[in-house]
Amino acid sequence: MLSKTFSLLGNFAAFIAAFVLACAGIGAVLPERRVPVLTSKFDWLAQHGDEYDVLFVGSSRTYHQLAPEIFDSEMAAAGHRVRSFNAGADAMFPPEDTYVLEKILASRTKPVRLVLVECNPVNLRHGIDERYTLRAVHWHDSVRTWTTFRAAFFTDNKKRTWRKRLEKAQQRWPEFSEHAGYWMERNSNIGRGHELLTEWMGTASSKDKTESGLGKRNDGLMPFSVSEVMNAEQGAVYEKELAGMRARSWRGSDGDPVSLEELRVKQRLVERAGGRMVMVIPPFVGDKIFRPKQAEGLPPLLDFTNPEKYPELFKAEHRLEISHMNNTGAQIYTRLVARELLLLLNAEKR
Amino acid sequence: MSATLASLPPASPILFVEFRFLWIFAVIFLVNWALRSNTARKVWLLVCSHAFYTCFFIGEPAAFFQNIAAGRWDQLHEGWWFPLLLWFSTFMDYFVGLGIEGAKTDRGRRLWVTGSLVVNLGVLAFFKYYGFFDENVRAVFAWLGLSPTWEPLKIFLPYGISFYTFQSLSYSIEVYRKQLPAERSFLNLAFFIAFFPQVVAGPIVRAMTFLPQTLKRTEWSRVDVRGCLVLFFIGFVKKSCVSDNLAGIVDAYFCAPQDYNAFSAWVAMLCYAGQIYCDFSGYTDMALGVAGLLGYQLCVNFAFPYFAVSITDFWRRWHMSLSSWLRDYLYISLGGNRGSKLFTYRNLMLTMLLGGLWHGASWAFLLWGGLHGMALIFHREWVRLAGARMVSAVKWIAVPLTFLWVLLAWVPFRAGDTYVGTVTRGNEKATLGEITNQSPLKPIRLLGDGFYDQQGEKLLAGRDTVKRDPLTGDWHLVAQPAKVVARRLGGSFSNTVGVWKSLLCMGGGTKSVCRSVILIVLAILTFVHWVNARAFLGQWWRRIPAPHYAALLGAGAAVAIFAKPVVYKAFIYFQF
Repeated sequence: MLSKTFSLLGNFAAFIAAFVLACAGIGAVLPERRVPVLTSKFDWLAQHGDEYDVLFVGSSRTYHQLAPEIFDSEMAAAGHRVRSFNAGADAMFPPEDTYVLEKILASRTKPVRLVLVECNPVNLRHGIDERYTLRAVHWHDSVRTWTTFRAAFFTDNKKRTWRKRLEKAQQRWPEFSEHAGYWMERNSNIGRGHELLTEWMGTASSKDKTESGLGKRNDGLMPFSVSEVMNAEQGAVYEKELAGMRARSWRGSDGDPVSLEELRVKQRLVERAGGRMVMVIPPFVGDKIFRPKQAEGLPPLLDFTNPEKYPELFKAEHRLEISHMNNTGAQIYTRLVARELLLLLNAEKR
Repeated sequence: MSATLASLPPASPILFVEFRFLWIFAVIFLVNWALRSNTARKVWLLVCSHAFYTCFFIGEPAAFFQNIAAGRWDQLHEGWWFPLLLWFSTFMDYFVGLGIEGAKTDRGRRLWVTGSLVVNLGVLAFFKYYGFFDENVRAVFAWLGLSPTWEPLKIFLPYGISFYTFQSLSYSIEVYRKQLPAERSFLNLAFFIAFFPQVVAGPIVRAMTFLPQTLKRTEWSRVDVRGCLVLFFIGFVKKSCVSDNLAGIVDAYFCAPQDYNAFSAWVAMLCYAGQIYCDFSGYTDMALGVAGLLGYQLCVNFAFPYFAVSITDFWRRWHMSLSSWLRDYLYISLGGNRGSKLFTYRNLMLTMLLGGLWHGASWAFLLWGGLHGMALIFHREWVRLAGARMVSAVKWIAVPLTFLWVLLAWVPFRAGDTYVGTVTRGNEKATLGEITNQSPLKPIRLLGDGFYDQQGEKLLAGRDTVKRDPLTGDWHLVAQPAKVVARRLGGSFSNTVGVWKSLLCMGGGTKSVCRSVILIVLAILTFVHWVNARAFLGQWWRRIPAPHYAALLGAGAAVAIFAKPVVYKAFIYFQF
């Protein structure tokens, strides 16, 4: 009986081992998954990465709002000759941004000078448009999936009863299981053969072709349309939200341990690549602002969420909605980022 | 545009090709073999079978029970109560079986079996053919210049009703014909009708094949584990790697057949022949494998039908459980060939027409059945007139000719009705594009307030809304108010004729559905199929050591997962 059980377990182990090895073997010879926006940036930086000494990393608030051309000219005017690249992408939050940053830095041969990282907490919930897409799958390597596991189940240090722990685990399980599914999908190469086949047979739809995220100047910026402004109804909602935010004295949170750790991981990556990291909180209206405390050995922080300090960033005519600015607002924001960064650098020199 | 609704949330049915099925099956399997008594195993499998079947209708189980607890009946899926029909059918045939056996006269026996036929077929007809009947009565009214005053009822088709109705009917008829004693154990009968590997899409197992298996205790030592795992794996490859990959080409073509050239029409039809065979026979293989691992044997359903040497031979090889059911219970009941030549041909044609209608309530299926009926009659006449020598002289062309006829007959089977939807959101208005009845999504029905699939899931309606993808121009469902107006654009017959004309280079457009390299893919698939049909390789996998077999299966699973599309597609035969 015992030998039968061992033999059964041995066969099962052989099945699993062969499956894992075959998946790894197939994965090793396959080209990288082509994901919209990011693949074009990876490809460009693999060829021209060393030409840039400043990188911007973050979500749509970086991708559409930080203009390298304006940033470079502001810095040049102050005597700092730099060339920057916007490596942001829509809805790119931790830990995806860490994965992207790691990949970009690994493709460089020269040290990076400065990396501006948008300050966001770890995000486990994909928007409806991002779920079950190649974009959702591409960054789920084992390290990043482990981060989502920790973020799902160990986001705070509170002491809880086992019952409370189980309740919490039950609540967070659906979120984590989605990420575990992406990890499976990434490592088992599911659908990759189908992709190659449809491409070979010429049946791949235009949807499957990769959207470029390089922008007109090949600097990674995809600006919003100049003409985009809020209509009266949107404007009224925005003003109400802004008034609400002004009325509250403290907005935001110090962050959970996993999100803070993610920032440190990025900091270490940048430092290993010979550069330094600066955290940026873009201007947006809301209560959920992730603002880590400066005393925790984290990189310096540029915070643009104070409407009293930066009124022009919160003017209705400069905004698309509570989270994003229009093109005019984005240009103002980029100049402010450059100026604040110069102030920071000069202050440190002194 | 055709991809409009492809972004719908995954359907609730549990498919054999899904990862979650593997986990669920692992639990069912382990508990089944951990239980000692045969009765406990059957109870366990009956509970699992009904739970499996119920999952097809209730959507997210947690939400379903929350809605029930809160009395939110309006938020339940349209067909949440359909699983009760399975119980109804089981109870009825249980008592009918006992009634037949207990009847003292032949008249009494006949009354019981007639009752079973009327109720079973009545329920099937109501759910399956009401919409078809209503639509055609309306068309006749419109032709007469009258407008019907009644509103169409929202009647949808419960998954698997055609399969389990025929299965439970087989029990009543076999008891009536004294081929089988009435089953005293309700558990055994309920288990036979609801057994989950075959409840939704067959094979249609005969009571006299399955019920005797329920009497004996299942023994693990008698399970052909290797054979079952290989069957499951082959079924998975057929469905996920072949059928679902070919589906893309077929769907692209049938969304706008008028745009494509003759080459595309041929490629699409060849791909469809491969798709439907691999889809259905793949499902059957997996069902056989799953049932086998639980200790039960189901009947074989396919025997390389595309290598048939005549249409008669084809029907001995294609969906064998249905064709033999129709032969034994319909064709023979109609009189079979016990009469004049014309009488036999009438019976043949009636059987095939009803066989066509069994697949779905549509003129297209009737036409498909009619084409096969014609071919069967023609073949009989040919054999009679030409004689054995002539028949064997032209044998070399028999396989391609049979295949060609089957291929042409698949056209009405696939080219369903075409609908168009117009979406209005604020001042924006857009056409949703043509949605065929067997679109990439699901077979659909058009009711007053939008599109539904046959099982009552609302695909697109006034309360649903759409958003245009700025990159592709496709429309996706989102939660913003919009209005959808749907109307019928073209009937299945006109679509069928269009494709036939295209196949004969007499119509169609200039676009090509894919590159000609597809022919290489199809040639490779045909070669592999032929090698299997000839059994050149034998069952070599039985002779290798167990760890090698396990490792090969593991590596095979990795390759199969690599080759399959990411998105699961429901089995085609679920709609019947």
